[in-house]
Amino acid sequence: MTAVIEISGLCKTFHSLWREEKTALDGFDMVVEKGQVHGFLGPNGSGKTTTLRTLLGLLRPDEGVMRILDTPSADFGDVAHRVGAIVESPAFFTPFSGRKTLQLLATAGGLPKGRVDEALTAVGLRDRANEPVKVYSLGMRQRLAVASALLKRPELLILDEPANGLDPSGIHAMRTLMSDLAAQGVTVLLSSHLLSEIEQVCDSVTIIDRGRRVAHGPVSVVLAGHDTGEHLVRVADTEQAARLLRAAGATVRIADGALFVGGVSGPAAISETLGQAGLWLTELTPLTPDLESVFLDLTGTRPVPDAPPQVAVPTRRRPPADNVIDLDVRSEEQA
Amino acid sequence: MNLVRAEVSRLLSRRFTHIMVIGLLAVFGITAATTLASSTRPGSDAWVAAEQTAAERRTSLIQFKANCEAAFRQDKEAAEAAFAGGCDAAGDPADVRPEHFLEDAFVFEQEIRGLTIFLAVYLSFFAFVIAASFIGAEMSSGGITNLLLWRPQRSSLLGAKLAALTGCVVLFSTLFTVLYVGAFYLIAYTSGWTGDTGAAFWGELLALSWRGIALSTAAAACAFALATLARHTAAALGIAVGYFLVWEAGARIVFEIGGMLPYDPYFLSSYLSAFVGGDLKYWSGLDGSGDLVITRLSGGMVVAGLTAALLAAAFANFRRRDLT
Ligand SMILES: Nc1ncnc2c1ncn2[C@@H]1O[C@H](COP(=O)(O)OP(=O)(O)OP(=O)(O)O)[C@@H](O)[C@H]1O
Ligand SMILES: [Mg+2]
Repeated sequence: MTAVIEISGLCKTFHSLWREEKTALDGFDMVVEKGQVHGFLGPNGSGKTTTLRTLLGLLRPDEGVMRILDTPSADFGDVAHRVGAIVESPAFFTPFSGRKTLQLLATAGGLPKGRVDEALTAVGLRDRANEPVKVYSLGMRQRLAVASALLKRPELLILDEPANGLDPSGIHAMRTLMSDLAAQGVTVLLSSHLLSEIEQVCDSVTIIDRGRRVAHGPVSVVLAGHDTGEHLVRVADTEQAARLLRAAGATVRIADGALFVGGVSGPAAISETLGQAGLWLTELTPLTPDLESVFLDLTGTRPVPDAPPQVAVPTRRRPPADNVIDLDVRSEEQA
Repeated sequence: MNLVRAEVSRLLSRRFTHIMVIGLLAVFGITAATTLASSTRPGSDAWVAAEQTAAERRTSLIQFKANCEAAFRQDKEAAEAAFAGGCDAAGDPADVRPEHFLEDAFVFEQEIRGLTIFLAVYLSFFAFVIAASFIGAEMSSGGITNLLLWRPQRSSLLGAKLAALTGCVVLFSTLFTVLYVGAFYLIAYTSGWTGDTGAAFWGELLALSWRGIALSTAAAACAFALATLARHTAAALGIAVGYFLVWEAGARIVFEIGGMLPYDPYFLSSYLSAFVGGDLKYWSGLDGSGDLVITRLSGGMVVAGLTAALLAAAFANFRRRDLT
């Protein structure tokens, strides 16, 4: 597989005369392979948008190497026509209509005019295209932004929170669009906070926290890396069941009237142990981690009672944090 | 080229541009209408009266010259004090023409120079405002970021915008100047007097018009550069208004009160006026002694130099800056 985006050691500090400086990216790495739908996750202010802006030549990096479609980022201009992108909620000149906005971009990019209607239809804006962007709702603007990225018929699509403000049908349409594009061989890099969406559409993910990568790899591998092998068990007599299971060598926690059982070979072992003692299970669920719990653990943003988690202050952290876990099996195989 | 086409289309689709052009036409309409209303085609009575006034003027000029020469013969020193400009200062009687004294008629040859200078000023003003808003809105709305995702070469992107803008300003100013001069000629022709319009006159008027067009283009380019640097339309307009209020008006008063002469070379307006209107004379003493001059050439060089410097700064800054 070939990499479409390769970023290594990317650093970006914002300097300002009036404010203290902010290190948004602190040695960030990312690899997106061809044909993937790649999720880009991280808490607010972790540096996702900054990464994408830098990649697209809007920001000047302090350090680091970036390649996009096999081209050094310095020559991004040579491949820009193959990359469709939206960065954060894109701003439009609001007195112009949606159609006019796209027409100007199509003219600037030397594209045939027919593409404009094609893109507007694809995002469901066809019937409202002649109204000024001023009167568009949040989700309609977002759809227009996606249309502007699709206009180029890109090989690589970079979308920063495309689902922002979309209604359920819009989100569903977006998901379908992603899968369709992926089926056509388009590589998609998608930043989002909708983890269930990411879990559904993405092949692999990169998780960023305070300007550094904290996890990456195929979704299943990232999840497996956090699988504790626990099972949730419900029986009528919790106490006795716990005793029996501990005696069989399992670790057992009791919470909310349920048992959390670890250290067993599988669900069969649990039902066998309890069944032989005449305790009949009312529920037995393997506790596979979902992306949300992995995300919360990795980024340290799991809510605790009475202390709303705060957005991190970006500061430079040297030397490298040691909590980086490399879950990318492919790169291990290659190494 | 595609980029320039897109930018021209953007400029011409803007409501603000439309409003400004309508404003420009309104100013023109009012000027033309008042001129038309206050001008009548001179009849034979008017000509007789004008001829009579001209004859009186000639006589008085001849008289003045004779008095002056007599004074010089009598007492040279006293005469030099009384007639500081010499005996020809009041003008040559042969230049006095009856059309100068047509009371109610608009005389094209006499008036068009002033009107064209007025045109240069207001074309420049409108060009400045349109240009500042054209680029300022893009910079502050983030529209420029969208465009950069399509054409990441920043210099050529900004260059295309500048080319589209200045191209439109040159074209519009030229057409509008033709319309303007033509309209006043027509007014003079139908209900006024065109006057003595020879090749030399037209040559001079053409040169004046070109300088007006050049000034409006320079104004557009300067506004473009300022709004690019300041990233907002309002900031560019604020800089311009601030300059004229604080420096051109405020500092001029301070110089005036402090009796600090000469101050003319410190003001941009002096150079602008020299460039469009012709050599500007000023004095280093309050008594009118030590006369100095800002030539048309130096005025033109200041306009060109300022524009080039602002554009260079804008391009250099835009090439490097972080766009968030
Ligand atoms: N122009 C700027 N000047 C100073 N600091 C900035 C600037 N832009 C971003 N930052 C800082 O850089 C950090 C990363 O911001 P970024 O926008 O990349 O976050 P993000 O991951 O996209 O967050 P979100 O999920 O909220 O969109 C933040 O702490 C932010 O305050
Ligand atoms: Mg963001």
